[in-house]
Amino acid sequence: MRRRLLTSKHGLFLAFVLMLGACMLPQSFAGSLWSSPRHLLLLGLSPLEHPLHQLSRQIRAPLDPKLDLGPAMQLEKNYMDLLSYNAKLQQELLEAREFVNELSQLRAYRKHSEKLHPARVTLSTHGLEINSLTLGIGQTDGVLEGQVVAAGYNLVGRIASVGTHTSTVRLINSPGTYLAVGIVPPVNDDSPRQTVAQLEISEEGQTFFARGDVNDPVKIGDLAFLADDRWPISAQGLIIGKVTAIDPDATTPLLRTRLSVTPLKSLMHLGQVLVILPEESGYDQQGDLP
Amino acid sequence: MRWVFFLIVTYLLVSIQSGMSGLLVVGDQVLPNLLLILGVFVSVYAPQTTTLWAMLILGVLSDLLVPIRGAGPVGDFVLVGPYAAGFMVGGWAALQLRGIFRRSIPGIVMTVLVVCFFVELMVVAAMTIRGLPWPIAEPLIGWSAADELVRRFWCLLYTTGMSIPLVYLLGGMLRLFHFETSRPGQTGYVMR
Repeated sequence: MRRRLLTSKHGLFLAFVLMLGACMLPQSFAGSLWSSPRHLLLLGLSPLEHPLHQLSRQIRAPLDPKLDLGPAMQLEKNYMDLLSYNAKLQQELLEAREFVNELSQLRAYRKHSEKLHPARVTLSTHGLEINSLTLGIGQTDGVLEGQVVAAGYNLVGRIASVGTHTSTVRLINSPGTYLAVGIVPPVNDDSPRQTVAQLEISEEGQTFFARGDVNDPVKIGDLAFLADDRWPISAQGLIIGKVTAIDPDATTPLLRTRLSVTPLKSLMHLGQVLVILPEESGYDQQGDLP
Repeated sequence: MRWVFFLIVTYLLVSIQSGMSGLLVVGDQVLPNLLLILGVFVSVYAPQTTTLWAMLILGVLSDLLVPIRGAGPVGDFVLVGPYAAGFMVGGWAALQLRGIFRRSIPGIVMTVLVVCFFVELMVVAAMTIRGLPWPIAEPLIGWSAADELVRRFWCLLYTTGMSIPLVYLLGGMLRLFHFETSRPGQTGYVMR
């Protein structure tokens, strides 16, 4: 009786050993080996994944105002709170319109040397150690690793891996991110002041923190923009977020302050982003570790 | 087992798991593992080798879906192996549990709980061993086994909770899976 050399059980055992060995593969080899299957998988999933992602965003909007529907006496207070909230939103809308005008001028300046490629977000991932977005554009659209991704003039992250028709963005709110920024008043603020800071992402990944001096000319509402040599030139000047709190530092409260900078947009709920593609071929996109 | 139908269900669940992660996420990182629930469901009904092959496929898909942060400026990469090996260990555990838990929704849910424990433990172990001080070690940036165990404990509970409706739905499609069994009288879906 002839005995088969490779049975299904042998195959399973071999697969298990291979998978255990694959866990130890070096990053460079694993990246090149599995990048293509991953992008192929994402491409196959995108027809169903994209509408589900949109549906998910509609059902669970990122910035829902919290309503407390408590006792009847509380409703009046909620109503007044909402009125003041509405007034604040109107004010912010006016400021935003002025800001958009400023940004439009900036865009007109930037487009001479760069091309902005719109890309739809097909997936947002809370990964093991990183937060990432998957975009519906890839190598065929001219996307390369290291290119900068923005949402309007808000910095989103950098292209981390590229497939033929998809690409992955590592977000700036991934754990362990450090960013050098300049902090300036909003465009409608007359007082000329500026300070620099080193931002560090918080544990929950929603807010950046920085230590400052008590004499630093920083106010709540100031904007933090990227001024970090480790990032490409095209990312410099993009907005990281807005100063939302200035607290005394826990260890040296009389000398130092702790600044909280919150991104203007929720990075995990973006529907569309812009990939900044340099038109000059000799342009250095890689930079150092951000 | 009818593999075509299995792959169709897998495709749907992968799309839901990744496409609706923004809706399903609790806190910042706690997500259910729908593929694992499917794997446990298959392991309850399918033959031994079929179960393990199905678990291998689901594990590889789980690995491919989530990139890992590596060294370098933009060094995110895909590491296939931790979930694939973890799912195979989980499949083996599920096969051992066949004689303990009944083929009912509570029984399958309990199996999901135990199997998920094995899978997450295997993943954390693989990632941690990767960073141990030995010649081919290449530790992951910012990896903390303790933090991961805590986060994955909540994922385990979430997955177990999500398995109740999902197993109910999959149970409705039991005939379409066309499981073969050597034990007569156990192909049907028992609602207890």
